[in-house]
Amino acid sequence: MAATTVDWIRNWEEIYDGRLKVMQRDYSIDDWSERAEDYSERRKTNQYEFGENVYAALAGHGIVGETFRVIEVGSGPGTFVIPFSKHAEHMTAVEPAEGMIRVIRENAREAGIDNFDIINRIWQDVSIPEIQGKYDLVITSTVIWMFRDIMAQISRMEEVTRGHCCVVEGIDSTDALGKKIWHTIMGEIPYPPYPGYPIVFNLLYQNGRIPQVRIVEAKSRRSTEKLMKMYNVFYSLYTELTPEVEEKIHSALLADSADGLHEGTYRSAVVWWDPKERREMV
Amino acid sequence: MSMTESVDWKEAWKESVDESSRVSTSSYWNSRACDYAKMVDTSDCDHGRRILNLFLEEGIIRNDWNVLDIASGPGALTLPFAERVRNVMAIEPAHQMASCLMENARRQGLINIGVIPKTWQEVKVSDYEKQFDMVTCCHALWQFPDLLEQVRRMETVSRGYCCLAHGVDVSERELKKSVGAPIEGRDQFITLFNYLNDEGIYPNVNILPYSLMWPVDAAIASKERFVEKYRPLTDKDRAIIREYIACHTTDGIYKIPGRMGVLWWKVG
Repeated sequence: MAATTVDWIRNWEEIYDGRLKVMQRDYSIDDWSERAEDYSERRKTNQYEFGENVYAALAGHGIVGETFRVIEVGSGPGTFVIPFSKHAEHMTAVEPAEGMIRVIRENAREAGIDNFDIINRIWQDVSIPEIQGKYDLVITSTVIWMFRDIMAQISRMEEVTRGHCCVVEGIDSTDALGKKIWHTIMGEIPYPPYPGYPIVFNLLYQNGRIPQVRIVEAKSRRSTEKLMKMYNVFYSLYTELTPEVEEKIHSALLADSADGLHEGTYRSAVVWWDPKERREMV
Repeated sequence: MSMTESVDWKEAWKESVDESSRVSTSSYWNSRACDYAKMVDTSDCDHGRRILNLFLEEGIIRNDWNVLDIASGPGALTLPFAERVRNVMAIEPAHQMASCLMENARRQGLINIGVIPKTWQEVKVSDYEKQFDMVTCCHALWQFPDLLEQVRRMETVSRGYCCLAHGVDVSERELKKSVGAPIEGRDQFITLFNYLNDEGIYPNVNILPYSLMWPVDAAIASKERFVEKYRPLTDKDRAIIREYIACHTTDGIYKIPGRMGVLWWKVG
């Protein structure tokens, strides 16, 4: 197939629809509340190393700094809220899951941070006119795969910033262990792809944006017990969570953990662009 | 599973550069040396300087570095880098280009530049294993239909970084159309980007503005040589080229603003 014939929006939608076809049900907001503890543990590894590295990559290019107001779409446990609040003027977290909000507040208390607020909604329900152009940076990480109408949501992000937009996505974020567990439980059914990087780069580029990329690396350390919970939530969406399934997850995790901890180093792509700057499209 | 597996990026790249790699011989570049050198001079090495500035801003350039610049031409990247690092080795098979480079170096008092008068494919990489802190190849990737093999060879000789730069979008589209020259049907930059990602090379990306500036006589000569790559030049071509350049010239300088994609990564 010739490169120019790829319709990246269509490609995105196909991946989105393909995932739903394999699932018994889609994620609900309660699933994310359930995930709050394990996700928080992951993002807090090495004093929020992931968030700090993303901040440093952006700050190095003047995309964020101490006078900046930043909004994060889908904050989870405070992935960027906590590390960014330490450096920037103010953070707004858009987060619908009560469990995640509780963890953001706990993590903020622990870090001594109070220069943030929370919009308790899904991003699609946030009223853009109320916050239009009020931020210097809009950032989101591993959230946009939940948006089937991807360019519509990206355009909404662009409307709230007078500066830059940033999307952070894992590179090949399903590690060998994740794939191994999938095949043990799901057999021949292919692992469901989640649209992320580099598709998002292609999408932005094809739609006239001028994206820049930095690859960052960060460690993730989770207790086997919390990781078990993550896998339980995940597989409850794809199959019946029987004691046999739980046992398969448990034994695979034990084999891959040391002293009750599971550790890995992950790479992510930090993709940012200035919505005011466009390529001339032929 | 690759998310972009529906496209064979390796094949797409090969198809995209096959024609240009075939017609752009060393003898073509010898015929272009004079006008290209004037452009680099008039532009004050603009594209090379912007790449250098990117790495200076990143804080990674060190003055004890050895840099390898593949397909240096008259030195758009070699010269600004040589001002900042210990040594730059240029790979340049077209002897006229290499002469222009060394003349430019002499004029600027730079004595830390060497030339290997070969194509990159002819260089025996085992002689240079991990000898360079950065390997660059700027606006010359069209000569590699077997891109990945050549990139892996660049990684072999680098102990630091690899940096590839390639134009984004097609420049002078109207002119190419008017003289019936082939216009790349594909966006080579995005093909390159996806090809590398599919092969597990995840580069940092900067898309930078730059300008090529030519004195009018050099601009005309460059376009004439360009048409001659494909077929003999006619009087009609000469007229079209002169008119197009006149329309895009200010104060005697023909200026093409463009963007280049800079893909760079640390070698593992």
